[in-house]
Amino acid sequence: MRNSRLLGTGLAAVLATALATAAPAQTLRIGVNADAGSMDPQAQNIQTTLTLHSMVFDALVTRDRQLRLTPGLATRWELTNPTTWRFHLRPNVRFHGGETFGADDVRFTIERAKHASSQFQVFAGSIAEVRIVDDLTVDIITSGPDPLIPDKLTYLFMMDRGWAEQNNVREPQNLRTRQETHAALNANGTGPFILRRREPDATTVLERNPNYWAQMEGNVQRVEWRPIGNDPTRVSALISRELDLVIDVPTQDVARLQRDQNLKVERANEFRTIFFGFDLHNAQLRHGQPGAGNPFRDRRVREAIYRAIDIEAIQRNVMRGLATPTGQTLAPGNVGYVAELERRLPFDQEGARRLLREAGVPQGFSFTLDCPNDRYVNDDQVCQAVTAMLNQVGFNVTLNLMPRARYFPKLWERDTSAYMMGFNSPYFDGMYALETMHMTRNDPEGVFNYSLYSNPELDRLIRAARDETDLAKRTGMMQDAWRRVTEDIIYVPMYHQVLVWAMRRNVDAPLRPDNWLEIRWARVN
Amino acid sequence: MSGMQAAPKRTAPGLLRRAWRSDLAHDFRRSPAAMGAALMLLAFIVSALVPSLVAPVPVFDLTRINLRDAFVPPAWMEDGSARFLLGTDSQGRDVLSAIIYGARVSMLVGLGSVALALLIGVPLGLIAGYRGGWLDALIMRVADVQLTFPAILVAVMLDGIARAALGQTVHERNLVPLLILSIGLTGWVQYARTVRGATMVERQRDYVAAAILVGRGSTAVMLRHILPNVATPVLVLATIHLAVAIILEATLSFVGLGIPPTQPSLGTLVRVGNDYLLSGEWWIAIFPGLSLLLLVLAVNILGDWLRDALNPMLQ
Repeated sequence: MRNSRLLGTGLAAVLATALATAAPAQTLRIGVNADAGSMDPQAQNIQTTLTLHSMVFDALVTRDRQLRLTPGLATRWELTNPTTWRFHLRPNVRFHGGETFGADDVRFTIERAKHASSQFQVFAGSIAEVRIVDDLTVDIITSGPDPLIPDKLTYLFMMDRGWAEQNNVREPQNLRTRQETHAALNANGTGPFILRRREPDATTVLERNPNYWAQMEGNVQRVEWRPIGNDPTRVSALISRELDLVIDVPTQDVARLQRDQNLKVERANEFRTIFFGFDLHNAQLRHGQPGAGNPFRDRRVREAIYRAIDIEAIQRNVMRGLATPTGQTLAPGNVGYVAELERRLPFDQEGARRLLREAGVPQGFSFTLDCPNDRYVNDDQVCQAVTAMLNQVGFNVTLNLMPRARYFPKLWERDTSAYMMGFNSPYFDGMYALETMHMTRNDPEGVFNYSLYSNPELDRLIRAARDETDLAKRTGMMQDAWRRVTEDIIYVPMYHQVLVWAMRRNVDAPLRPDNWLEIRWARVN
Repeated sequence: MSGMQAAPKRTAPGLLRRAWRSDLAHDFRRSPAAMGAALMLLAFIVSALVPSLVAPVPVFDLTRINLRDAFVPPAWMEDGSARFLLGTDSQGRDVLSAIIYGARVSMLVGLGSVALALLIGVPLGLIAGYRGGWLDALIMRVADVQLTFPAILVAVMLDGIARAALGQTVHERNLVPLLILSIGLTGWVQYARTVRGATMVERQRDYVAAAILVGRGSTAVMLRHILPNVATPVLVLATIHLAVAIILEATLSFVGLGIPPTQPSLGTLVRVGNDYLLSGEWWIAIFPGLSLLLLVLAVNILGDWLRDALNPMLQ
């Protein structure tokens, strides 16, 4: 009798211990279709990468749920004269390694972001100098008036200068040359999570920073970041409880996931527009028909491509309704957006053939279309469909699909004749896209102008809008610029993406329309 | 007393008649499984030889596909269309036609790699078995080392090397020969071992001793006298290896190392269709998978039957 009671108590004790260890410490397992290319916060400007980095690092300025600017590592900021922003830094913030955060680190990070191997020059380009006033105050001096400095600073994650110097990563990792550095696999930030394990393309494990400076709404204690490239595998992992959240759900599986009682599917109109770009510079296409010159420089040829695309079929059969066809490359909600530019030229194969005849290429011509297969929703399927559609009006298109790790370096080198692109404006302002995609290349101007388009008149127009301090006037000037680039079909527009996240019922992760997972808001119940 | 029979005339119908009356054919006629498998294989071979006559649509002609036809289910299902017997894929391509063209690529790679493995393995086995000594030891040790690498690993390795050495574009244009090479190079060991063993047995026979006594060179002895007598096990092995090679190609294509979606093999079709398994468009992956199954099954059944039929000990 006594023995059995003893046994019972013992069993209960064992059971209690077992339960205690099994009790989930609010782990959030996130499935993505491709990994962040680096842990270096100034090496790769891709949304997925930024999302992961934002868990480990902090910026001076961040955003609240309404996407308004809100203090991050800076507690407040003010404009002391038209070209000087003063930032007051948060005291007593420590990096994960224990070092104190200060003005020195701010100057170091901003200068780092301006380095040639950085992909964040566009955010730091207008900054002429960072002057340290005292340990917790910096003056950011711009070369001209720049009202967007606080917005731009939301993209610059602060690094520890001492750590960077000690580990020989003063300069950002250069992804173009496939450089490997200490910062590619290690990170020392001030953020809410500490990088515990980094296995590129497999798993990245983060643990809650016990000394984080802010009170967090979220309760996640541990993050497992799991890139799974194969769509059905990623979805199956969510269904079979191996993942808690998938932030790039394949469109074909949305209906299936919605029927699952254990899951919830949330969607929002993403601030991202998909379009096609073409070499508008070289006299002879690098990946085109030898001797055929560069027909893309003729607007009629671009219009022919535009009219040859059956966008309705793509929207229905490839995107399954999770896309809004558009006639422009700027998403609604951005400053400078013009609603009437949404209307597309009609799908018109006869018209396309006629335009090709008028442009003097009645037989079409051959070229290679470069597309990623793991960057945008259904990118490979859309490109296959467009390839077939263009071939039907007479073009001879060869499709070149590749993973993003190969795709973007190719675009950076401008080694492309026709390419797919998806773009969102990082601070909800159409100036960013005008400046980086349409201006003659002079980094950071034209840094994403993979078409090498150059039109001095348009450059003047954009520059004038950029330097305009009267906001209403600035918006009007930007709208004029958008009308113009849309009319000229510098890019062939496709659709605005609809963002779909799927998560387990007990997960609460608010969607941001720029597809940025804000870990500080995420809850596991 | 069989020598009393009149020699049959060497005309084509005569040969056919003789073949029909042979033991092998007699055996064949009594095995419904073998006949079914042969019929199946014949269908695959015919459609591989003249796909344009069999396939309803030339699926890889981009001007002939329409995205608006995408995801049509098989003809017998609701919303199905008589135009597409087995339905269409995500781009509006006819699945049946894709399978017919895909099986052709799969069989080409399969046959090519078996031929390559035969060309390497049989001569090496003959030499090792006939010469013996250090040459035998050398060849067999190389074969042992080769055996320690799983076939799929060698194929992945060769693919990686070729990718790096040839560059992306050249590599993609030569995928079929490269696949044949990588699958063929892993298959030769079985042939070498089988032929070596059989050769060592045959070498002791009187007819070989007679041939050597008459003064025939060793090459002639190996090719004219020994080879025909060791051909039976090789033939059986080749049949089974064909099935293995087809599966290996499908595996490589399924993991994305093989044939790209622009000229898909059956494995590629299964990979592409795999994306739609969870969303209800099962036919895109299932039918190519089934065809692969049927093809390999037919080859395997024939191989099995051939092994039994050619081995008097089993009868």
